[in-house]
Amino acid sequence: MTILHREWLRPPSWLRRFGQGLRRRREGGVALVTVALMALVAVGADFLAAERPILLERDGRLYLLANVFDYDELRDLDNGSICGEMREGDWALLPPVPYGPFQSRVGGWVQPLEPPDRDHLAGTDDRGRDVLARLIHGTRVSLSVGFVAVFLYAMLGVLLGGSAGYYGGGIDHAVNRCIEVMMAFPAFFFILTVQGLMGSTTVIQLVVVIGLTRWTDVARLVRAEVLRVRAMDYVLAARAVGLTEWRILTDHVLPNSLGPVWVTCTFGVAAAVLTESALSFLGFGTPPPTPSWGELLTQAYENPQAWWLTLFPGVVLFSTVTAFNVLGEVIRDMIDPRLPQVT
Amino acid sequence: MSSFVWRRLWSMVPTLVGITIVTFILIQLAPGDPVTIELEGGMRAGSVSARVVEDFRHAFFLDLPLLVNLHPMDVEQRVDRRVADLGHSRRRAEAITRLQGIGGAALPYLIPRIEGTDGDIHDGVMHALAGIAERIGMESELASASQAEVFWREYWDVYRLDYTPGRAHRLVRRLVRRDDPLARAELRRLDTYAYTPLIEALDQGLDAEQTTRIITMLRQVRRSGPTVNADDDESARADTVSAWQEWWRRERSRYEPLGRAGRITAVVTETQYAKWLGRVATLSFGVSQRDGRPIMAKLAEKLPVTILLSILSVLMAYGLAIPLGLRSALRRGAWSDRVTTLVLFFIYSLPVFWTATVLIQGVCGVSGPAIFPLGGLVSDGAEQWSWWRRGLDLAHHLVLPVVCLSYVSLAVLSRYQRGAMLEVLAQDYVRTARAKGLSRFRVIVHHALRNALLPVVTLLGLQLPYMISGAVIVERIFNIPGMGLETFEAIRSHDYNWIMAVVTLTGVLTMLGILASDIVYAWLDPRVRLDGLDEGEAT
Repeated sequence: MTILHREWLRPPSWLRRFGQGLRRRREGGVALVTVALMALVAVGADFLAAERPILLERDGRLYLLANVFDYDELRDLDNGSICGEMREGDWALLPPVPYGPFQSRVGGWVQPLEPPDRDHLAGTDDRGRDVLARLIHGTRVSLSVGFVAVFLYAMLGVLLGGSAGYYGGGIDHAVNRCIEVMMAFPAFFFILTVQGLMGSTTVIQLVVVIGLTRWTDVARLVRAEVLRVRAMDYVLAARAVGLTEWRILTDHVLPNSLGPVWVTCTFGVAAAVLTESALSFLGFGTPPPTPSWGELLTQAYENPQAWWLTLFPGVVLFSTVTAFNVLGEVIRDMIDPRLPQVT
Repeated sequence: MSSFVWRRLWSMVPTLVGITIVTFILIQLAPGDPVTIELEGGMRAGSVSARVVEDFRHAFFLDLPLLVNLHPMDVEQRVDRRVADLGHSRRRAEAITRLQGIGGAALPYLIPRIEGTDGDIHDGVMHALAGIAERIGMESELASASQAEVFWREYWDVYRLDYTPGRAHRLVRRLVRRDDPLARAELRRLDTYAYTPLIEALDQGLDAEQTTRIITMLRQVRRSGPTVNADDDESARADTVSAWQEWWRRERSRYEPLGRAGRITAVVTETQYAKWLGRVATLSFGVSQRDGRPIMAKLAEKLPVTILLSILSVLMAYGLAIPLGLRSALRRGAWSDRVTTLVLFFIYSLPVFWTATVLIQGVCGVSGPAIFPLGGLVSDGAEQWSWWRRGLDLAHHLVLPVVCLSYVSLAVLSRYQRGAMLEVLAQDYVRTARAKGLSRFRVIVHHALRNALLPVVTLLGLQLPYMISGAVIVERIFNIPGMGLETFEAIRSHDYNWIMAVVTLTGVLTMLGILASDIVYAWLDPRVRLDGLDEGEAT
């Protein structure tokens, strides 16, 4: 006699399926590690590259986290001058890259456009700022633009596409027209002109502009999926049991429609990171002096002899974009196992 | 098929309206408060001056209501309002200047106000009239205030009929026919009242001499504005004419009465959105604030460059992607397939602006061999070369830009091609064909390939937006004088007319591209046209 355990009927969890997907495609692991590292760098940017020490004992006073907080006494000092004025009993814990992203000393002991050496592992840019420090802090800008913009448009897309697919009728019509209109504008070109019209003032503005432009893909996907799921028997069953419309939508229709959204969003982060850096490259992305990969590449374009300005930001940008694209593929395989032979 | 095309064309109408609405919202977002622009501009290259912002507000009618204008203003109401202002001591001086600024067009409404007003208002009206008399060259007739009243009353008795549209048109026609000093003198007296027929005359296919005559007359009345020189060629004259028409489009409500019917339609037409819609519909995007040339003339010059670049890139992408994809699909799993797939995947993630920068540094003689030119489209001194040498030179300049613009499409398309081919190869009809004993070649070419090409070819319409976006980056890096570079420069120098024109036109172009690809798809695949228009409902 066989006993049916509830556990056997339950589908494998998301995490489990993701693990299986990773095992099938080895490069997925590399991508995941890359993304995790990038996220760590973004979160801990202040501890990796900062103008002042993380811990500092000076004149008998202990300064905690001087890299994050501003102390009045240390305002005019940086790692270099602090270490230069060390007295008996003073000590400091410096971040691995002892320069801030804005720290610039043209004409001082830091020269503009200095090739990589022991002091500056990735050289300096045209204002004498440490390239590595700017790369590290640029990671924070790029990833947050990528994630927040995608989050924004995923929300918008699910909301609009979901209600279009579920309620149909006039809403569906209106949303479809909106999608058609937004798709008529070449996305990057449109974002560029909007940035140009409004002027690049804040990073938040850039995020909102990307978010409001790129929601159409998600909305189309969700709409089609909701249309498919709505016709399923289990939705009919849920209705027969007497669940409220809201409950059916949130508990049964949406969870089963959102699979493809994860794929689009993962690719979307790569696209948003690329958009941000391309805009910054053209000078209409993040406002200066925000550290940004694209901005470093502008300098590379203007100073062709400075190979380190081309190489390092390029490698970082390329690996981030590739990592998110690979991850997107892994997630797609996981959601639709029929597809892997296609790729 | 034709019913599908009609349905699809109809569905374009709301999209077109939507495009104008989105661009209209963009105008609202634009420069905002001149003061903040000034502050922000100081920190950036190519700062905005207050004048540019004022220009922008004027050109896009930002002082009109957005959608409904319950109190449309024409010359009559402007005069009435200013006359009422004459009673307020603070606004008096400005009102007089404004009335004088309206000039001859104000006379039909201003002269009757001599009667029936007294005190400050009466004085103000006389003051304004004196200014207008000076404009039209009659100041000598007005020695004292009492004489002035008599003069204007007599003037109006004699010349009232001149200030009618029919008479003004006749005068302009006479001036068009020959250089008639009498007509000139009379038009001079009509002053700004003559703007309407003069501007309309510009539209009637005049020859060089006639155009010069009309524009000289216009300049005499306006005392400024673009001028034509004797040695101007055809296009320079056309530029001047369109500059005048552009000016009139903005200013006409200051000088023209609306009329009874016009007053009703003006509720809708005298609004920001209607003005914008009118501009889009007539493609009159004004003149570039960067160099004063008409936007459409500049577009006609820049767009072909971008189109050439895009077409070459799309051709290159398809030309390589289809064979690559097919090859990969036929040798699925072999190492050549795996290498191709991997390389294309990496290529897909390479940022275009990075690749272009590296190429410039590597093979354009900056820090490496100078295999390709550094940028631009033609070499110095190419004008004297023979046509084939110029062609080679152009091709030489285009290699790197085309490579940069096409490789992302190449990666995407060949992936699609591979997938489509694999899917088709797994179909039953391919197995049947093989089972019949047909040759491998025949199966692949006749049965599989035709169906596998379908989805990839229909992606053609979607390449357009990508090409337009990519063109900005590629043209900027390789310094190619196309639409993309011009847009980049326009954004840098806040050339709002160009930006608005380009964003609207790219919207319309992309929509047409998608439309075309839909129609081609429906033509190739009967299932599409038999289903509903919305693909979602069909599934």
